[in-house]
Amino acid sequence: MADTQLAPSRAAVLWRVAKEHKAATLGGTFIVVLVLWSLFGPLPYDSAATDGSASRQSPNATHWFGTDGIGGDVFSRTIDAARIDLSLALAGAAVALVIGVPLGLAASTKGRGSQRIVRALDAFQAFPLLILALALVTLSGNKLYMVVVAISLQNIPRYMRLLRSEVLALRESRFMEAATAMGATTPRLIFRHLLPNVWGVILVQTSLTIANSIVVLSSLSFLGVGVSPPTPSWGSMIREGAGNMSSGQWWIAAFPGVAVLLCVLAFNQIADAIGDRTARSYR
Amino acid sequence: MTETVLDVKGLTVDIATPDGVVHAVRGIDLQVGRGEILGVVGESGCGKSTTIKGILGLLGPNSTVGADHIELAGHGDLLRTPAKKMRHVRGRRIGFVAQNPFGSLNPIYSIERQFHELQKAHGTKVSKKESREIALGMLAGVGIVNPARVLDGYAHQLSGGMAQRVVIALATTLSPQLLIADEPTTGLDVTVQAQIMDLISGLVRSEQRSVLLVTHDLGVIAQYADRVVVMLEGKVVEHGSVTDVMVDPQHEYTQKLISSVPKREELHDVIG
Amino acid sequence: MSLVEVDQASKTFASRQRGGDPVHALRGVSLRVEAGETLAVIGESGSGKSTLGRAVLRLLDLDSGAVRLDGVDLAGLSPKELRAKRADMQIVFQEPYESLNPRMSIGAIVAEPLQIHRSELGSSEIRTRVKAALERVGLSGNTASRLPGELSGGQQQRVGVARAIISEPRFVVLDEPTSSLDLSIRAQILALLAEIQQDLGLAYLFVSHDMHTVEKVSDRIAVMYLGEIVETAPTLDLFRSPQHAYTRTLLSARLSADPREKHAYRAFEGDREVTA
Repeated sequence: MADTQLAPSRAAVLWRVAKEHKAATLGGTFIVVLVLWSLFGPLPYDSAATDGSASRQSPNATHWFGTDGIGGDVFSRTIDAARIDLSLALAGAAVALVIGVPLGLAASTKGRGSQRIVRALDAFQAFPLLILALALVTLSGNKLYMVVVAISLQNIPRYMRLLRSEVLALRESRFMEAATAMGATTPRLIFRHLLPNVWGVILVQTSLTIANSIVVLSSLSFLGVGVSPPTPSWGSMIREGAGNMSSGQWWIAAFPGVAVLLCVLAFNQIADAIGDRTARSYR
Repeated sequence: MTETVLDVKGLTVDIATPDGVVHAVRGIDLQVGRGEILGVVGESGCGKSTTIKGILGLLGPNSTVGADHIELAGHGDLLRTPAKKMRHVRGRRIGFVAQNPFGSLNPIYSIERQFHELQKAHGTKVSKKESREIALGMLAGVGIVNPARVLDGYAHQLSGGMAQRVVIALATTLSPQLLIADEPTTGLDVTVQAQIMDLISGLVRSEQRSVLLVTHDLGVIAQYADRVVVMLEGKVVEHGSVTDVMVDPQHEYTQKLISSVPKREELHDVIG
Repeated sequence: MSLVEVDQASKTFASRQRGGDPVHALRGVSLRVEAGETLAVIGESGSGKSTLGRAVLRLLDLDSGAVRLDGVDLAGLSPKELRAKRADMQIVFQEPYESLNPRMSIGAIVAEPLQIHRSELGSSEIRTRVKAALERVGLSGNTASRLPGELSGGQQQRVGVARAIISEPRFVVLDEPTSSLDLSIRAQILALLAEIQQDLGLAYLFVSHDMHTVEKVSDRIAVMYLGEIVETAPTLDLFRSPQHAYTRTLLSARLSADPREKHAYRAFEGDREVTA
């Protein structure tokens, strides 16, 4: 078509979007670089390597982030931790998405049943979920898949609530009424009219869920559950380093802490940008 | 013409948007005389609402208002009035009636409280009790049958027409010489529209107030305004007395606008 | 037999406010729409006119009464049969933008009724018909690739009309199709609707609050007040000799754009605004 030639190229559009959402672009770049680096290296040191003669060194030219209590390189371990921390967080968010969205749709009717589901969610969310997660993971014998289950359990209710509130509003919309008036079947109403219009908020929620998952995951490993040493994870590194804080050796806990902070910030920024763009494309 | 209450000369409004500067109003002149209703008519996007927001100093920081002068009788140039003082001009010297009455009324205050807040905001030192008395009189004056009940109630308990009556009562409580009404009857039922417009024109005739009436409804203009200004793309394309402009429009756009109103004669022609 | 027959339709909604009185939107409304004619239903907010428009299409269920299209009682149809019947009866909404799915291209929006009701048609045939329908309502064929948000209000309403006529219905409910549009656009859309009616022999139920509009487009007018039809008459008769007091009030509230025709509003004794 003639129109497509006039339209700006995909790269140009991407560039414009990136310029408009600088914080999100920065955050996205940070995440991508972190993931690629943790997956493919090269890292200055093997993250599992220890060097007893060089323990608790403050940041210097050879050990950029210093070394920990058993002489592990904090920089290499912080980067390497992203591999397991981010993949578990992503997996947890993905499971929550895949289960939460259909459940949320199912709970989006006006009937009594749907109200009961919401009551059940209220009760479930009133439960201290971190403790539930702790119990689940511990009882399973520290299985990593249980960490994913725990994260998704925390987030499924959020997806359900979100879907319910969005869908209940959309059901009243004129274009849904128009679709009903033209004789659309229920699957068509859901897949052609409902879902495309909630996709944006689902993406926003997913980005926030990942951020939340990183925090939950770090909390778990901080408490010594889930990912356990010597596999590096931010939570367990902070735990190790926390004891040394009082003696002035701040770097052991600080750098993995900053990594958690930056990741959460990055995903929050991405969520903001997505929310901004989807809101705008309605106009 | 009689004494001029509002004299606007060369008003421009530029609005900065992400896609560049929009010249929403491009140099317009308006004069409202005492005891007169000046109608401003145009279709959406013609700049009529921006014009009155510019006069009232209600535009956001991304807008730039310019003019030779916006002279309000007994006050001075509104353009050179600092924002802080404009707050006192609005309400005391100019009453404002917006399109959506529910947007103008505070949903969590009783109607009585809103009358009292208005008095407080303008430092009139009117007691709560006096304010209630005044409000009762104002509401009765705008044709509300049971003013006490309305005063004790909240905005959401009112119908659209009743709410607009309350807004008009509020806007005229401090006896401003000028009332600016932005589509005051749009969205109201036709019978309610007739009542509200009768009310506004009654205020003008009985108390010699002046009204700047912005609307897209040619019927409202033809039946209630004395003079009319036709706006298109931020400019005035035609102005004059309602009888002149509506009966014998000179500008092509005015002619087009008037001819798009369904007329009874056409129907008679079709049926024969 | 008339094309559309509504008999003693009643519908009550629970009050939106807790403890409020239920709203009797329809109180035993009966009407007929003949093939090819325009019946206007005029009334103010709360008159039940929009409820009537939706009840006629069975977009909501009546408490009692019947709606028949071609003699077939819509309440007696299975969900599947009702869906199939919807090819014959369509609606154009008051809010042109809100009635279009913001995520779908104009082409996909207009194609949808065909995909639902004429699934035997190939995709290229559907594309051809969509293009024809868009051109029929005065839009260029390449509008199909655009999104609703990229069009003006008038264009959006043209899309709404194209969507309503593409399944070749015999009856269309027009629910205040022009009241959110500017005056000059309004005239264009009304002209378009009249043209389409001529060409396709459609019957319209034109729901409106605006006497000026109704006067121009309708063959007959039904006046609704508080859930009841108080008067039905051929358009000219209604304007010449309104029978019901409320009709006279409505007529007196019209504001002529000609300043020489002075209006004198006459309140109706049962008017809620005055007695409230």
